[in-house]
Amino acid sequence: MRADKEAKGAGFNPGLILGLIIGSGCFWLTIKIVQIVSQS
Amino acid sequence: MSDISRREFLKGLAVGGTVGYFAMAGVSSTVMRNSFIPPAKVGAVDIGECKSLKIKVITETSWFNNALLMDDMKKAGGLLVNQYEIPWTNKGVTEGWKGDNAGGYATLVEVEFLDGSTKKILLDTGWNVDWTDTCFKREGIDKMLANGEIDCLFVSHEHFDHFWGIEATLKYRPDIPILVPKGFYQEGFDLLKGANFPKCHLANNVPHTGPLKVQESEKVHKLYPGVASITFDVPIITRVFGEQALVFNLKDKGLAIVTGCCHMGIISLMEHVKQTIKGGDNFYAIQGGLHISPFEDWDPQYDDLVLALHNYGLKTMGCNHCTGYVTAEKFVTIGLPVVKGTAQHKSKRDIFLGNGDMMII
Repeated sequence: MRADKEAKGAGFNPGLILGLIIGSGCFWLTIKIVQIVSQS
Repeated sequence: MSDISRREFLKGLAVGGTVGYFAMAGVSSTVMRNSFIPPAKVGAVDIGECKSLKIKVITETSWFNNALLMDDMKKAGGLLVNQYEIPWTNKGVTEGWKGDNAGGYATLVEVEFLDGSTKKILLDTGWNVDWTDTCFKREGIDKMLANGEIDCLFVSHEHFDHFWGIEATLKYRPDIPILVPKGFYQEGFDLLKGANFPKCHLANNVPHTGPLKVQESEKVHKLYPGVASITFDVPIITRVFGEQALVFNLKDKGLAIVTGCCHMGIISLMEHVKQTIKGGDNFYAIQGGLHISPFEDWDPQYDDLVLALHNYGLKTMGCNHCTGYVTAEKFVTIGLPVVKGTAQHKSKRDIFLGNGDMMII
């Protein structure tokens, strides 16, 4: 069971990468929306 | 690639999303700042260039006793009372000029152009005619006026200490071209024509016979190559409205601003110049009254103002009159390049560019 856990922990999680991209994109979008709203 | 459960994937997504959001926040405010925050709008009005400036402080001692001035305004009804209705104390003031609390503000700006020619602008004309005339004689302004060497009188605003000494200028040159800001009241125009106002101990016995121009607001007035003025619509205490300041574009140096009182606020003025005049992203110098702590009071919000001024990268500055000694000390503490004066001719401290002092840019 411990070996199984270790095997799983050593695995690559594509969700993390996707999350990083989505998170960065969300922040960029937030700034853009604020700029557009403040200029209108 | 190992199997990943849906739960693990979603956990990774959540963690990655959170880290990504805050990481981008950090990156966007540092290394990628310019991509996220567009550069500030910089002005496009080209006022040309000039070579150098000589700024001579004729008198920055607008009055001699702060408390007495405040008391005069308070007794008359407060800061909103019309300045022409206030019986200003003009007798028995120990530290005053012959017993009068009134002094005045006046500066001579000599501009050298790229071809070597020069022009002289008299910025303001004091308050107490006798004091102003004495200062004029001390600095040779009387002769310059009489000889026609001074090209114009630039009145920053209608305040008593910047304008009411008009007779001292007109007695030597009644036809001098005069520039006043939009907002002058009828009393001011009447004073130029030779009116007297006994209630506030004000008189002009030499009517102005030369050209008078009212400088409108919301535009850059090009006066000479490299020299412009800007007028601000700003209400000022004692029922005054409007103030104008001079802007110079010094070749290979940057912009220099010379003010009378800066009631519009020095940051507002600099930002407006930055967004309006070409070269506004490169300030070199400021000189004059900066109206921050004129009565030596201090509000913590002024600390932000001092910090903001520091960010403009000024190479030299001279402050006096309504800047306030407290403010000048803060400028020095924060490392602003304040030019010291000599504290003579009734100027009290050398932290000000005082009476008789000169700044060369």
